[in-house]
Amino acid sequence: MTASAPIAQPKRWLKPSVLPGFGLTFGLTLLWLSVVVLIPLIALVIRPWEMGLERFIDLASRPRVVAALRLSFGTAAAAAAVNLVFGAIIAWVLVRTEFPGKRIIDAIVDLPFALPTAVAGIALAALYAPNGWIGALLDPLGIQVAYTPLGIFVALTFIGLPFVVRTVQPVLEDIDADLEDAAASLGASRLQTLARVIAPALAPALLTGFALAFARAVGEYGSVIFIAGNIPQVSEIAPLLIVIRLDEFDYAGAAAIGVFMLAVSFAVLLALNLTQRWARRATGNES
Amino acid sequence: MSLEIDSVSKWFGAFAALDKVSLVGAEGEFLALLGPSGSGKTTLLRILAGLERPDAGVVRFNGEDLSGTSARDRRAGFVFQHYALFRHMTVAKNIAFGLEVRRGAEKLPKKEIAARVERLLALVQLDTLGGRYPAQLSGGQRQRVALARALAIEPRMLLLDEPFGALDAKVRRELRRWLRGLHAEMGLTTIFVTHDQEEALDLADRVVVMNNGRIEQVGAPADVYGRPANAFVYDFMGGANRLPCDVRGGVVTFGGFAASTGDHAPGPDRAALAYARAHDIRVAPEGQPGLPATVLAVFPAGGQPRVECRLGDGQVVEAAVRTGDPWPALGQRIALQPERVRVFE
Repeated sequence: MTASAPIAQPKRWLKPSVLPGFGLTFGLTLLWLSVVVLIPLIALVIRPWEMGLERFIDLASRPRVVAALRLSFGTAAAAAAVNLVFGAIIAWVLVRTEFPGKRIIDAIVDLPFALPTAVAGIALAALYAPNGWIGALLDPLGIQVAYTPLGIFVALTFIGLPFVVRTVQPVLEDIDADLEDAAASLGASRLQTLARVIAPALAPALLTGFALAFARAVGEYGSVIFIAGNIPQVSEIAPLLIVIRLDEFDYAGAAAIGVFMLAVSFAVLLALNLTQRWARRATGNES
Repeated sequence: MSLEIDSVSKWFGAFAALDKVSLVGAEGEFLALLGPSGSGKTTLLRILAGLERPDAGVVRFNGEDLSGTSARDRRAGFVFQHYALFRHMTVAKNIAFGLEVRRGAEKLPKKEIAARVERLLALVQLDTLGGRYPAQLSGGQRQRVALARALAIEPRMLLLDEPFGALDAKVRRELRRWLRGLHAEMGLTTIFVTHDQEEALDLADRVVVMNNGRIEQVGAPADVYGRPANAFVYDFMGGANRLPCDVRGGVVTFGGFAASTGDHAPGPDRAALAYARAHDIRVAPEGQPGLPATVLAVFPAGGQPRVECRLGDGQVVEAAVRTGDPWPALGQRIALQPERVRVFE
């Protein structure tokens, strides 16, 4: 036996792979991302700087803009959080129980995906207006939904629901029922099983569902403007303000709001992504 | 009489998974539930664990009726075929799970839990792997973690559902030996479900052969193998040949060759089918009394040198060649002399 000398490997940033076509697929990935995502975004990011940093900060910090941004991110986060809870419950029911009409319920979950958002907005506005079916019930209680931030929250909850259900559902299907049996035979209560066994296994999917619902809600326009009432500094969302600025031919002002939204959204999504990666590494379930 | 199963039945729709099954297990006994898939053995095990409710019948442990006791309170250690480990927890956390979910007076101090986990890791020979995650272990190691996790709660009985079914043959044999040693050491009442008759015969104090939701036979491994109660058990134990024979006055003959039926009466006079294992069928030269056959293949290697041959009716039969007997050639005509057979009615 001759001891074989280790073959000197040139230091490379890329690990050699047995899968062919890396160059081609990676090239296509970069090209496509550039054309579809990056170049339009760069144009957006460059635009406000043409007027200088000072003017950008001035534009982005006006009370009306700040109020719109706060409203957009606040209601999006609240709607995504509510969807997280109810989406998880719906996914649970769809995966773990059998009942007549299950296929129909399953299909209904996708409706917010398929419905034109303007249609959803008009329907919700009609329903929640003080003379609508639900609005008429809430009005005597002094609860105003339509034309208030609460209405925005309702619309964002509606459009975000399928994201959570559809990300949690397949993961839940993969969770072996044996795990729950094992936990029970070891003496865990239903609540302990849920908290210690099911929830941690579902956490990455819940996080992804939350992130998708949140991202969608931040950018949502069509369904919101019909129910929001669009009162500046009260129920005017940031995407609407961008459209208003564009109507006024104030491209720099529109871009300033857009860049700010982009930065915050990107930061939130990145943070959620890193959390997930960290969680995966911690359980040794990488690769 | 620690474990008592009293006419337990379980239906899934119209299908009877268990049909009035009764069985008694002694304290510290190692029982194997053996049967093909769909025979009800896993259902019975899950009923013992409280993971399934019987539709009729009662399970008692040391005289106490377990019907109203949930899986959570039964203290039955359950080991699953596919491990069912919690993949987001380390090995040590998995083992500690049953202790950490305890509440109230039963709650153990953290130090005590850590010490017990250490002891169990040593017991399953995974001392250094407590910090690993299940995904980083081999199948055999995962199943030992699952066993340690089940033992952590100091169970009153240990229930194993085809625990080695997902492992390769070599690991399976090693774990079998190890489990036998562990049982001898701990003396825990153990019920082991398997469809592998060799595993059941190797491990158990008593083997319970099940089929179609009923118990076909219960007995020591040597009994079940050597004196199968019926055709199903004989067949399931493996290596069964079915040979045409004549029964006259309690004597079974094959072409003039009289076989022994041991203590098992062959029944009334008739033409019947006899069951015989390969090593009980002798290969004799053509012309001697016995069933005429033609040699199809010879297998001289392995633990049991044997030949495959075809009877006049086209049936293929395996027979053993005794040490000292001449090896037949391919295509040669021979006479088969089944020396020990069973004829079931």
